[in-house]
This record gives sequence, structure tokens and C-alpha cells, in this order.
Amino acid sequence: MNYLLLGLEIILTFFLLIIFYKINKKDGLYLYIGLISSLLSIVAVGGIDALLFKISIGIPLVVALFLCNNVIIQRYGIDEVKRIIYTFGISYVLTIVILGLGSFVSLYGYTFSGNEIYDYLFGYEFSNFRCIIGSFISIILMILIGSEIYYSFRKSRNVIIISNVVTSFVIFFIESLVFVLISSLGSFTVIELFGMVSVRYIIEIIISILGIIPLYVLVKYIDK
Amino acid sequence: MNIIIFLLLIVISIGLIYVIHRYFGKHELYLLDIIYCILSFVLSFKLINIFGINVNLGIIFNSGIIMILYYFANRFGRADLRKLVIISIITAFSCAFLLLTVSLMSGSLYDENIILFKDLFYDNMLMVIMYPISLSISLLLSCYGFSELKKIDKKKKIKTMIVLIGIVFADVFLVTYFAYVVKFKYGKSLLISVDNYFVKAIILMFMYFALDKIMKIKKVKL
Repeated sequence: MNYLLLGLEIILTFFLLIIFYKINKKDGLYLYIGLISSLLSIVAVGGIDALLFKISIGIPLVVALFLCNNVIIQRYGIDEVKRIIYTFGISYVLTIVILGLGSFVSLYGYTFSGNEIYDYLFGYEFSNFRCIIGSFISIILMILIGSEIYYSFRKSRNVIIISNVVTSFVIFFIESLVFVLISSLGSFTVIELFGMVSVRYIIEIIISILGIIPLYVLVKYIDK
Repeated sequence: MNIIIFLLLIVISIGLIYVIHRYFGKHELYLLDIIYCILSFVLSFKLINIFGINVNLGIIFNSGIIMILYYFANRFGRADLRKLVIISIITAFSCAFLLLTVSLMSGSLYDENIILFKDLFYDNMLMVIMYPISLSISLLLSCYGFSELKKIDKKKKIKTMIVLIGIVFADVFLVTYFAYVVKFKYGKSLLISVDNYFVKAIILMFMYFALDKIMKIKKVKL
């Protein structure tokens, strides 16, 4: 069931990537980054079990950011990295800070379970805070390093599939390692941490390979 | 504490529109609209109490979305306005779909957040479904209302205020009443809806006058 729902999440993110590009071209891709970043700041704290280890439910959104970053670099060059980081950072931080502010207020007179659950989820609880920070730092690194690697491949051999696959092999290892270390170091054993990094890495690679389809459609076909 | 946070959120909501008007452009306003859609959606699960009135926290950023629409209607063309409405509707529906999908997953043994997602979004499914529908209706109504107001010259302020009050009525009673009727009894749910209607109307009036002043301030190119 979890894999099916993860599949739905992947389809939604790929579908949105194409829709936003169709609506607003280059600016649409930045709006897509803003949307995905905001959503990621909400779901980054959730975890499910996959292949015996805990993974974050935000993985499809992380890969969507990676793919969108690649589309922008492929079409508009390396100079766009700064704007991508600003868009991601502002959307992510603004969402989580305002949602966190909402957890400081309370209700009297009625019993509404939604309030308590909201406060648990968005109320700066330490383990959740580590997930949010881990996700933020790992994605900033992913965008910075991934753009450089992707651009160097694009310059030497402009084959989308090779650039995308090779970049994803390198970058998702760094991303998984940074995220798992920040969010879970100290709470799990070394073997569990190794398993979490490996499973996250494998799932990210699979989703990014699937993501070549929307990436190819965007780069090659839509404008023609 | 409640009143301070409530006022702070209103200031943030209108303040960010001011910052973007002053220093940035149309594209950043689209981005702000997307963030406001998500914030208003998630904050609508929070019910707070201010001076004995029960208020849904989502109404602050929902008012912000309507104000961005008003800004677009007065500053840019019909095509941009339509694009903004489409982007907001897509954002609201995709956010609802994603959060419902996530809340249906079975959580990790080491993690209880998925159970919390389930309790928050799946158990309030009516609210998750009603929110994008009500936002779409209120945005389409606002879009039509603001476009018609552009053609009017006499008593524009009063007519704009009447349009805003009408939009709030459709929006609040659709989402708040039907969403809370499952959680509370009919009477309590109606009472909360009336409270929300008055508070949202006041917030919108305040934001409207503030935005009117903001739009007269000159832009600064960075």
C-alpha cells in the first residue's frame, strides 16, 4: 500500500512539473520549486518503513526538486542556481516559520483534537526540527553540487539521460548521507543509519530514473 | 499570547505583499500566492480563541490570497489574473491530494508523525476536500467581482467593500460550516461560522485599506 501511495505522490509531482511549465514557462519552473519546497517543509517529518528501514515520505519531492533544477540548468544555464536557491530557501523557511508560529496559540471552551495534533506536528519538537534542518541543508547542497556536476556533463556531452543519471548517482549519495546524519545520528545504531542511507539512496535513484520521462518531455518536446 | 500571534500573522500577511510590491515583481507575487495557499490550507486545521471568539487561523492567509488577487486585478491584465487563479486552484488541489495520500500511508515503527498526519488530515477529510473547493469558488467570484469593479468609477470603495463581504460569506459558510459540522454539533458549528465570518470581514477590510495605501507607494528597483 505504501509503495502504491508513494507512486501516486511521484505521479503528482511529475504531472505538476509539466503543468507549471506549460502555464508560465521558465517562471513556472520557479513557481514549481516554491510549491514543492513549501509542501516538503510540511511532509519532511513523516517516515515510513521501506525495505526494513525508515525513509522520509518527502523523497519524491526531493527528487522533483532535483529534476526541476536539472531542467533549468539544461535550458537556461548555470547562472540560475542562485535564483533556484533563493526560491527554495524562502518558500521552505517561510512556510515552516509561519506554521510554527501557529502552534503557539490555543483554544478554550471547545475540545478540538486538530489543535493538539497540529501543535505536535509543527510545534518545533526536537526530532522534527532535526528532520526539517536536515532536509534544508541536504537540498541546498544537492542544488549547489548537483548543478555544477550536471552543467559540466552538459558542456562536454549534451545527452540528457547520461547527465541526469550520472548526476543523480553522485548527488543522491551526498543528499542521503547529509539528511540521515543530521536527522537521525544518535537516535539509531550505525547499522540502522547505514541501512537508512542505502534505502533512501536506492529509492531516490529509482525515482530520478523514472523522472527522466517528464524531464525529456520538457526539454525536447513541449516547445516544439 | 493568542491575540499577539494573531495580529503578528496579519502583519506578516500584508507586510509580505508590501515588501514584494516595493522591491520585487509579478513573479514573486505568484510565488507568495502559492505559499499563502499552502499556509492557509494547513492553518485552517487550527482553531483559536480571541476575546471569546473562535477563529480559524487559516482565514488570515486566505484573506491574503484575495488581496493578492485584488492587487493583480488593479495592476495587471486579465490574462495574468486568470493565470493567478489557475495557479492557486492547482496549488490547493495538489496540496489536498498530497496530504491525503501521505495520511493514508502506514507509518514507520520508529516514527509516529504519520499517525499524526492521519489524525489531522484523514480524520478531517471533509475539511481537506472542502478547502480547495471553497477557495476555487471564492477566487472565481473575486476574479469576476474585481474585473467588474474596474469598469466602475463612482463610489468604488464602498462597492469594493460590499464585494469583499459577499465573497467572505460564500467562502466562510462553505468551508467552515460544513467542515466543523462533523466535529461539533449544528449549533456550535454555525456559531463558529458566524464568528469566522465577522473576523474575516474585519481582516479583509483592514487589508483592503492597507493595500490601497501600499499601491500608492512607489516601487524600488533592486
